[in-house]
Amino acid sequence: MPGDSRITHPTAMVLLAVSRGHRYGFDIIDATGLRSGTVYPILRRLEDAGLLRSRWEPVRSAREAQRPPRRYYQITGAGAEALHEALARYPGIAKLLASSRPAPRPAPA
Amino acid sequence: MAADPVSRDRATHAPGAGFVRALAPIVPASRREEWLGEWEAELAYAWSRVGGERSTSPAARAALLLRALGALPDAIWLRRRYGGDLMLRQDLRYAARSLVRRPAFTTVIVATLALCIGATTAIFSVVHAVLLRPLPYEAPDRLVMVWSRDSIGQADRNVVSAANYFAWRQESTSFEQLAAYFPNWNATLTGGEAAERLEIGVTSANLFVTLGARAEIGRTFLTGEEVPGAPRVVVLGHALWQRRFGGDSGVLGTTIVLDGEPYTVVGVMPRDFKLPGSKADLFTPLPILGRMLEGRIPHLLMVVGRLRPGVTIERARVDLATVARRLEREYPQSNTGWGVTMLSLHEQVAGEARRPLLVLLAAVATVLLIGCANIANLMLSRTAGRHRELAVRAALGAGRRRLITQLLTESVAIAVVAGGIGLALAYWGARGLAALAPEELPRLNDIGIDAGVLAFTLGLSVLTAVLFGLAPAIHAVRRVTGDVLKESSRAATASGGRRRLRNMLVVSEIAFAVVLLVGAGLLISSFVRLRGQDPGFRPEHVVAMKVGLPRAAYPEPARRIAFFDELTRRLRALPTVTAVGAITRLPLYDSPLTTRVVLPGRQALADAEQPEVGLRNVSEGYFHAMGIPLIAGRTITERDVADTALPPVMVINQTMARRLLVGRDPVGMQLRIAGAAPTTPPFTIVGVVGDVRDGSLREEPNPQIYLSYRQTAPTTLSVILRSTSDPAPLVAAARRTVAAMDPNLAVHSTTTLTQVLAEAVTEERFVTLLITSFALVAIVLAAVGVYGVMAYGVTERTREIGIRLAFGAQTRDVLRLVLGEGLAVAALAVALGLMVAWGATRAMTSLLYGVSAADVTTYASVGLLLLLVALLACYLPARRAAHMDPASAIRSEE
Repeated sequence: MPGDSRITHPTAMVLLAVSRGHRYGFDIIDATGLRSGTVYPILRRLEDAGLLRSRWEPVRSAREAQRPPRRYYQITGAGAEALHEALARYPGIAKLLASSRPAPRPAPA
Repeated sequence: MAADPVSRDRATHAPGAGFVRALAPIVPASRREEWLGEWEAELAYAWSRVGGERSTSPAARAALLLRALGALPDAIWLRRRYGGDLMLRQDLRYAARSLVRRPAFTTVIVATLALCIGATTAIFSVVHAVLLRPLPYEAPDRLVMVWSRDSIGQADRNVVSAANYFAWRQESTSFEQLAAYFPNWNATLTGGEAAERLEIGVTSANLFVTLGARAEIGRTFLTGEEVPGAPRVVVLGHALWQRRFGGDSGVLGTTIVLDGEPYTVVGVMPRDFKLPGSKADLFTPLPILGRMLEGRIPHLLMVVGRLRPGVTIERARVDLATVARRLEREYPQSNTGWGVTMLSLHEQVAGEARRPLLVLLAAVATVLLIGCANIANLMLSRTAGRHRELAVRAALGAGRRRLITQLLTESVAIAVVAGGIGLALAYWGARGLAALAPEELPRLNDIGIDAGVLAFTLGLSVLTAVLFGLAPAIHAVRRVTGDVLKESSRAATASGGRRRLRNMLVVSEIAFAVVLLVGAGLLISSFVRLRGQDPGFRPEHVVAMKVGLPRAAYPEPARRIAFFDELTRRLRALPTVTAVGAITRLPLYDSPLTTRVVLPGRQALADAEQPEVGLRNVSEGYFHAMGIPLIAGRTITERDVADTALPPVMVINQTMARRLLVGRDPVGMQLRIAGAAPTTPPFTIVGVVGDVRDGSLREEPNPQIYLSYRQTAPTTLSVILRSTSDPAPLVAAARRTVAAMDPNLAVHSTTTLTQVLAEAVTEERFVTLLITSFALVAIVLAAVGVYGVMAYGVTERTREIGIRLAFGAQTRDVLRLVLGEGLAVAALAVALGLMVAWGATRAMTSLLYGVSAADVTTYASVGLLLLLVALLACYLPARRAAHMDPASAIRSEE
C-alpha cells in the first residue's frame, strides 16, 4: 500500500518477519507470536496489495520429505519500502522479532 | 502442485486437516484448491516436526488444532474479497420472491412449522429450566442431599434425626459444610395486621453458607445461634418482606412475634433464593423445634452438604456410612439398621421430574416430525411445478450442489421465520405450562426463554429446514439434471420416484401418530383408573382448614384440648354442618408422621427394628365426618378419654390388621409405642377402620394407627366440616368462629376434600392432558397428510383412471382401486406404528397406573381409529377420481 498509511502493528510484524526470512505461514506465526487467524488474512492483504508475493516450494524437495509442497512468501520492492516506513512507525517490532529463533533456510529453487 | 498420494495421505492425517477441509466450501471455488493445499501442507509439516503419527503428545495435537482454527477467518476473508457472486444474498432474495409469489402455500407451511417449533420449544424451556440448568447456588455440583436409609423398613430416603445429624457433622471428613433444615414448620405471626400463619424454614446456622447464599440485606445466622437458649433471630424471605413489611430495610433489628415469642430480624434473603423442598416465608435457627431435637428416635431433618474440593460423592458415601455404622454400634436401640443415602442435590431436585418431562419432550418432537413430513410433501408437490425453472438454471451452468443449496435456502428462510414466530408462541406456551404444571415441579419459577432456549430454537429451525427441505430438493434436482428441458416432462419415471418418497413420508406420519395415540390412550386409561381410585373417605361437601395455637399462648395441654373441644362444638352448631372432625395430618395433603409399635411377643427387638406405622391423632368425630367406614369394633369416644382410669385406646386401619396382626382378632389387643417410657400403659385397640389413601392415590395404604388427640394435645389440627351442600361458605363462618374465640389465631390452608383429591393427581393430569393434545394434533396432521398424498396421487393418475373409466370401469371399481391402495399404505403404516409404540411405551411404564404398557385394548383401538381416519381422508379424493369425466381425463396434460 505505497502511500497508504494504514499499516497496522500486526501487519508490520508480519512484513518484518517475512523480510527476515520467515517465509512459510506457520513460521511467520511462530516468529510473530500472532494467532493464525490474524496472520493469514494479513498475508492475503499484503499479497493483494503487491507487498508480498507467494510461491510454491519445488515439488521435488517436498516429495523427498514425503509431504505436500508448502507455499512461501517473499517481500517485494514495494514491500521493502513499506517495511521501511513501518519500522519508523513501530520501532519496537525489531526487538520483538529478535527474540524468535532464526528463520530456516528455504530449499534451493 | 498436484501432490502425490503419499504426501497427500500424510496431510490428511494431521490434526486440524479435517476441520480445514470442512471449511473449504466457504472459499471461493477459484481459490479453493490452492487454499486447501497451503493449509494442509503447513499442518503436515508441523505435524511431522513433532513426530507425526508416532507422537502421542496431546498438547502437540491441541496446539495444531488451535492453529487450524485460524483457517476460518482466512476462508471468510477470501470469501468476502473474492466471492464475487455474493451467492447467499442472491439466494435469499430469490427464495423470498418465490415464497411471496405463493402466499397460501407459504402461509400454511410457516403456520404449521411455527406451531410445531413453538410447542417443542415451550416444552424444551421447561426441560431446560427443570433438568438442565444448574441449581441457583454456588458451585452446585458439589452439593449433595443426605438421607437416612432404613434397611429394615426399606425406606430409601428418610428424614434425619437431629442427634444423627450432629454426629455426622462432627465425625465425617468429606464435607466442607453439612447443614440441616426442617422445611415446613408453622407459626402464627401476630402484631400489626391480621394474624397470619407462616411457613418457616428451620435451619442449622450454616445452611446458607453451605448453599453459598448471601442475604440481600443484613446477615444470615451465626454459629452460636443454633444452640438452645441463644437469642431468637429470623431471616425474612423476600416475598414476605415485600408483602408484610413493605420492603423497608428498616425492618432489620426490629422484633416480630411468632407464636407469642419475640424474634429479632437480622436479615432478608434475595428474591430468587429458595430452599430445596420448602416454601418457607422466613427462616429461623434450630432451637424453635424444641423437644423434637431431643432423643435419637424422632426423624425430621433434611440434610444438605457441600463436598470438600476433590472429594467425590462416592468417597463421601463411604465416609458417612462408616460413621453410621459406628452410631449403630453405640446406640443399638435407636440406630440399628439405619444407614445413609446420598445423592447430588441436582438429582434430588430434578430426579423425579425427569421421566415425565422427557416423555413430553419426545412426544412433542414426534409432532414436530409429523409436521415436517407434511411440509416435505408440500415442498415435493411444489418443486414438481418448478421443474422448468430449475431446468433452465441447470442449463445455464448451475451445478447440482448449487441448485440444492438454492432450494435449501428457501427451506431455511421459511424455517427461520417460522422459528421466530414459534419463539413468540413458545414464550406464551411456556407461561401457560408453568401455570398448569403441578406445584411440586421443581424450579417452576425458572421457566422462561433464555440463551439456552434461544440457541435450541435456532438449531431446531435449521434442523427442521433440512428435514423437510433436503429430500424434496435432492429429488427435484436429480430429475432436472437428468433430463434437461424435455417437453412432456411428466414421464412415468418422474412420478415414480416422487410417489415413493410421498408414500414413505405418509407412512412415517401415520406411524408416528400411532405411537403418540397409543401413549395418549395408555395415559388416559391410567388417569381414569387413578381418579376412580377410592380414596377411602367420602370427599363430597367437605371443607378442611388448619387452626394453629401458639405454644406460648397455650402452654398447658388441657387448655389446648379445651380450645379444640369448644371449637368443635361451635362449628357443629353452624348451619348446614352435619359433622365436624379434626386430625393432625390430613390424608393426601400432609405427609404422615410415623412411629414404631411393639407387637405382642416381640418386645425383645430393638426399637429401630419394630415395624413402622403411620401415626395420626384424631377427634372423636373424625371418622364420621370423613365418611371412613368402620370395619370392626368401634371408634374412639369421649368416654374413652374422659375417664383417665381406663387404658388409652387406639384405632388401626385394615392394612395394619391384615399385615401386622395376621390371624388374630385385633380388637382388644394391647400395643406399645416404641420408645415410650416403660411406665406408660399400653394402648388397647378398640376398632378397625377402612384404609385411606395416605401419601398419594397411587400408593397402597400403609399400616396406620389413630390415637385420640387428647393423648398429645397438638398445637395444630386440620378441622373438617361436612356440609349438606356446597361447603365453601363455611370457611368464612369458621374463621369468624375462631376469631371470636381468640383474635390472635389464624385459620389457614383452607381447601375442600374434592380439591385435595384433584390436586393429588395434578402431575398425572398435566402429562395426560399434554400428550393427548399432541396426539390429537398428530392425527389431524396425519389426516391432512394422507389426504394431500391421495389427492395428488389421483391427480397424477388422471389419464390412467380416465382410460379405465372409458373402458367400462364402474364407480365402485375406481373407488376400490384408489381406496384399496390408500388403505394398504395406511395398514402398513399402522402396523409399523404399533410395533414402534410397543417398544417406545416401555419408557412410560413408571407413569402408568393399573394399565400395562402392552395393553391390547388400547393398541387395537388406536389401530382401528387410525385406519378409519385414513379411510376418511382417502375417501374424498377417491370419490373425485371415480366421478371424473373420462373424456377430459384422458385428454388432460397432467
